[in-house]
Amino acid sequence: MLPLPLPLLAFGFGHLAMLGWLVAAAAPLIIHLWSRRHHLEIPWAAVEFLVAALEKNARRVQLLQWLLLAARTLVIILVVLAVAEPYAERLGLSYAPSVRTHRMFVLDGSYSMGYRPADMSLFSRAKHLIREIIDGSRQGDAFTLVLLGDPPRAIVGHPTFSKNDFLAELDGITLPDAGGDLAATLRIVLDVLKQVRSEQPALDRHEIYFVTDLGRTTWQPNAGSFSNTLDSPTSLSTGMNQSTWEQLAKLAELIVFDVGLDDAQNTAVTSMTTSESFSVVGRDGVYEAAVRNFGSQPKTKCLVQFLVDNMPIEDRRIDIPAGSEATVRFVHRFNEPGSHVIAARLGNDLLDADDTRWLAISVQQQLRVLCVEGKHNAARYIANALAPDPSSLSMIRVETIHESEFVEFEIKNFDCVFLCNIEQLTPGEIEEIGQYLQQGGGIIMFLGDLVIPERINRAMGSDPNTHASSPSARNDSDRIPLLPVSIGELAPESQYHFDPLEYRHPIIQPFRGHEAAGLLSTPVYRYFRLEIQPNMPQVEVALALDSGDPAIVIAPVHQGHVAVIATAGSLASVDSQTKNPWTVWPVWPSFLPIVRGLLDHTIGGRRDLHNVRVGQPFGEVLSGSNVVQGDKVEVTRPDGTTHVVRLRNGAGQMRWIFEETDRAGVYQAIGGASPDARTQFAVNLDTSESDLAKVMGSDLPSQLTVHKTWMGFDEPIPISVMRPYHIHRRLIYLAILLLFLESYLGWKFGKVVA
Amino acid sequence: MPGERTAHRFLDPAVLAKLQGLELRARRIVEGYFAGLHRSPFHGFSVEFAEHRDYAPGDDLRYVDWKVFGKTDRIYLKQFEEETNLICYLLLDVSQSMQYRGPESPLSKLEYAQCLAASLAYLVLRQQDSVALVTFDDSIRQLISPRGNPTHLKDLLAVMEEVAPTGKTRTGPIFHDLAERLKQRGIIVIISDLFDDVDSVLAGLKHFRHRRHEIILLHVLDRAEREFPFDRVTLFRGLEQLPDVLTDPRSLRKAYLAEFEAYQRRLQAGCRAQGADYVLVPTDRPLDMVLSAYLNRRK
Repeated sequence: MLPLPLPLLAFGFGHLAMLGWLVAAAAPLIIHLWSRRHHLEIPWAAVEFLVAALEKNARRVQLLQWLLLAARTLVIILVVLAVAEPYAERLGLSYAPSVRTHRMFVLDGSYSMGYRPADMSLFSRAKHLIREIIDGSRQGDAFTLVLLGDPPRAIVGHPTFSKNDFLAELDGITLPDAGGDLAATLRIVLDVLKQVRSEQPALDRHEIYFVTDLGRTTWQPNAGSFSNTLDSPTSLSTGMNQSTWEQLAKLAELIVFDVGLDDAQNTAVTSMTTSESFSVVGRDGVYEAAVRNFGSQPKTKCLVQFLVDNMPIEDRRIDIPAGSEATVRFVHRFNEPGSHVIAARLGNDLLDADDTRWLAISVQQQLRVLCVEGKHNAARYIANALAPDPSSLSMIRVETIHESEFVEFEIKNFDCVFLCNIEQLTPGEIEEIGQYLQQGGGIIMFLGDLVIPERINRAMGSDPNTHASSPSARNDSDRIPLLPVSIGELAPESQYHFDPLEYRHPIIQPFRGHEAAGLLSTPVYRYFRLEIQPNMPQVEVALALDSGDPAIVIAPVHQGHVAVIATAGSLASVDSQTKNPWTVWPVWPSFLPIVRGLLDHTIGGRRDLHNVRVGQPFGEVLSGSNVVQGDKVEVTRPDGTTHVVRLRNGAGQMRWIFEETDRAGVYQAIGGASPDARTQFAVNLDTSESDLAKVMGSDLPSQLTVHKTWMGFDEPIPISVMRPYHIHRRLIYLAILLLFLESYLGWKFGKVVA
Repeated sequence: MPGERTAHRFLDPAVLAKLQGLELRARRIVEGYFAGLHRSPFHGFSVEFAEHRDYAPGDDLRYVDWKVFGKTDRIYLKQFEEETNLICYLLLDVSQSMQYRGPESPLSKLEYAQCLAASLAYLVLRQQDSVALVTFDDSIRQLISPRGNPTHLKDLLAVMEEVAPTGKTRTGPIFHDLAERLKQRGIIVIISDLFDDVDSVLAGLKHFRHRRHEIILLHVLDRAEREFPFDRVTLFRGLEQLPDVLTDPRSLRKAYLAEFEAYQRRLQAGCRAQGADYVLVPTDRPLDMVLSAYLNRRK
C-alpha cells in the first residue's frame, strides 16, 4: 500500500482531525455573545434619542448583525473545509458531491518503457501509478485509457464508471515492441475527449494524465541525435501538435507523470545485415551486427552473441564508447537449404526489447536465374557470366528460353529474370512480371535490335500516353510502371564509352582504382536513349555513357527491383545498316562483374519481404494448382500464440498477409502451398526509441504540468499529486470574498442612517 | 462681591479675569428696582441726576460728568432716573441628566452649568444689577430672589453648592410656573441640557416671552452627547428613570446623531421664533470663551 499523498497545502493540519476546526466556526457567535455579556456600562442622559434611533433601525441593524455574524462564521468554515478537503476526499467524505471527473490516462506504450532499472519496469510502474489514481478516485468518476504507441490505440475509448472494469483492461495491456507516435496519439486523445464531453455532459471536469518516461524520441522526435527511420518528425511546440495541445488544454487539465530516469544507460543492436545478396548451401556468408551505445558511459566487454536458428554459434566481447556504434561480423555457412534466422543478441542490459535483432534468410541449394532471349544467343554471354560452370555444383543455375516460351513459365520459381533483346511482351506476360515484382523478384532487361520501344513502353506502363487506359491497370498499384525508364529513340551510331559516374553506385564501385579492368574502354556503338520516369522514387543511374545518356538504370518496383540496360547483352544485336554489333561489351572484361553486380542488386527484394519492422505486415504470394482460396496458414508469433490466416485471391494472385506484428521476434508460417514447409519472418524494432534521452522540461508545452514520480530505484512511488476534483481553491476564494464582504458590512454597520 | 476675588470652585479667577470689561446688558426694557444701565419702562419719576459710577470702557460718553473729571481727573458717569437696573433670573437645571460627564470632558454638565451661572451672577452683580437664581428639575428646588447686593453672590453660590440632582427634567410646567411668579421683566437665563419635550420647552419659553422677559437659552451639552463616539457594545444606563439600552453604538451612531440634530434644529428654530438667544454650550470648551463670545456678539 503506498503512503497517502503528501500535504497539498503548506499549512495543512496533518490529518482529518483538522475538520474538528469546524468548531472554530462558532467563534464569531461566541465572541458576539461574549461581547454582549461583557459590555461597557455608562450612564447616559440622551437615552430618548438612542431609543428613537433604535426603534427606527432595529430591523435593519439586526439584519446587518446577522449578516456580519454569518459572514464571519462562513469564512472560518470555508477555510477549514478548504484545508481539510484533500483528506476528506481520500476517505470519501467529499463535500463537493456534485462534481464528477473524467480521467483519461495516456499510457506511454513505447518500448523504452520496458526499461527495468529495478525489480519493476517503467511500464509496470506507470500501470501501478494509474491504479493508485484509480483507487483514489470517487464513485461517479469516469475513466478512459489511450495507449501512446505506434500506432496509438484507445484501449478504453468509451468512459467506464467501473473501476474494476477499467483496471482489468489496464492489467491486460502488454508493452508493444514499438515506438510512440505522439501526434497520432494526441489526435485520438482529442477525439475521445470530445466524444466523452458530448456523450457525458454530466461530467463536470476532465483531466488527462500522461504517464510516460518523456523520451525525447517520442516527445520531440525531430531533436533526437539518433533517428534512422522516423518518417514525420514533429515538434512538440510547433505545428499541429501545438494546436492540439491548446485545444486539449481548453477542454481538460493536462498532467504529466514522469516515470523516466534522467541518465538511463542503454545499448541496442540497431541492425543485422549480410553483405551477400543471396545465400546458398555450402557458401560462406558474412553477417554483420551494429551495436550502439546510447548511454553517456562507455561499455566495456559488452557480450554479443550470434545465434542461428536460435542456437548460439559464437560469442564476442566488444568495447563501445559512449554514444558510439560498433560493428561485429561473423561468418557462417549453411548446410541445409530452407528458411533460416540469424540473430545477434546482447548480454545484460536494462532494456530487453532492443537487445536482439533477427535476420531471416532463405538458403537455397542453387540460385535460379531465367534468361529470356528474343533471338538466338541473346542471353548466351549473360548465362556464361552467371554460371561459367553449368554443372550442378554451381551456385547459380541458369535456364534460357525463347521469348515465345515465356508465357508458359512460372517465373516465381526463379530468383531473377533476364529479359534479353525482347521484341514485345503480351499482357499475360506483363501481368506475370507485375506479380513477380510484387513477390520481390528481380527483372534485368537488356535491350537490343529487336526491341520496339513503343510496344515495350506501352506494355510495361512506362508510356504516359497509354498507361491510364491500360486494360491491365486494375488498381493504383497496377498503375505503377514496371520500368523505371521510358525507352527512347535509338542513339546514332558512334563509338561510345561508359562513364562510371565517379563509381558511386555499388555495382560500379569494384572498378574504382581498376581503370584497366576494361569498364572505361568498353565500346558501345548503338543504344536506346533512356528517359527516367519522373514520378518514380529511388531511381538510380548506376552507369552512364559518355554522351550523357544513362547506360544502366535501377529502381525498386513493387517489392522487387528492375534494372534496364540501354544496350545489348550479346553480340547478336546488330545494326540493320552496317551489320555491326551494338556493342562488344559481352566479351569485354567488364561484362561479367557488372552482370553479377546486377544480379546481386536486384534479387534482395525477396529477403526484404521476410524482414519487416514492427507494425508492418508480412505475407507471401503463392501460386500453383494446389493453392486454393481459403487454405489456411498458421502463423506462430514470438510469444507462442498461433494465428490462422486464410489465402485470399487478390489481383489474380493467391496471397496471405499477417498484420499482428506488434512484437519483435521471429514469426513462423506453416501451410499454404507446401503444408509441411516452414517459412520464417523476422520482425525487428525501429531502434530510434532506444535512445533513452529525455525531453527537456523547457521543450514541453506550457500547458502541461509535470510531476516527477521516480526519485530513486528503491523508493516507493510518491504520488505527490492526486487530482480528484479540488474545490479548496474555490473555497479559499469564497472566504476571501467573504472577508471583503465582512469589511464592507462592518463599514456599512457604522453608517446606518435612519 | 463684584470687584473682589471670590475663592470658590465655581468661580475660576482665570475665567473671571478674561471676563473683565464684559457686561450683560438687556436688549429690551427691563423693570429694575433702581437706577442702572438699562432702560426703564417708567417715565417722569426723575430725570435728575441720581448718582455717579465709574466709567467703564464702552460707556456712552454723553453721560460723562466732565465737571467731576475736571476736579478729580477721574471719569465718572452720571446716572439718571430713566436708567434702571437689570434683573437677571438664572434658571439652573439640576436634574439627573445634568450629572452626565463624557469621557473627554473635564466637568459634568451640572458642574459646568454651575460655573456658568456663578460667572454670570458675578458679571451681573459686578455691573450693579440684580440677579436671581432658580434651581429646578421636575419642580422648583430653590428660588433666590433678585438682589444687587454684592454679598448676594455668596448666597447664590451656597445654594448651588447644595444642589443634589435627583429628579427628572420637566421644564414646561416649571417655566409656566416661573413665568407667573417672576413679575418684573428681566433677562431669563436658562442653563440646561433641555432633555425634555421640545414642544413643552418652547411653550414655557413662549410664556416667558409673553411676560416680556428677554430669554437667553444656554444649552449645555457634553461632547459625547453631540458626537456619540462609542465603538463597543455598551449598556447605556438611562438617567431620569429612562430605560437602559444595550446596543452596538457603531450601528446606531448615524441614526442617533440624526435624531439629536433634529432635536437641536427644532430647539433652535423655536428659540428663533420666540426671539430668544440660543447658545450652544459644549462642556469641553473653556467657559470664558463661551461667555465672551456670546457677550461680545450680544453687544
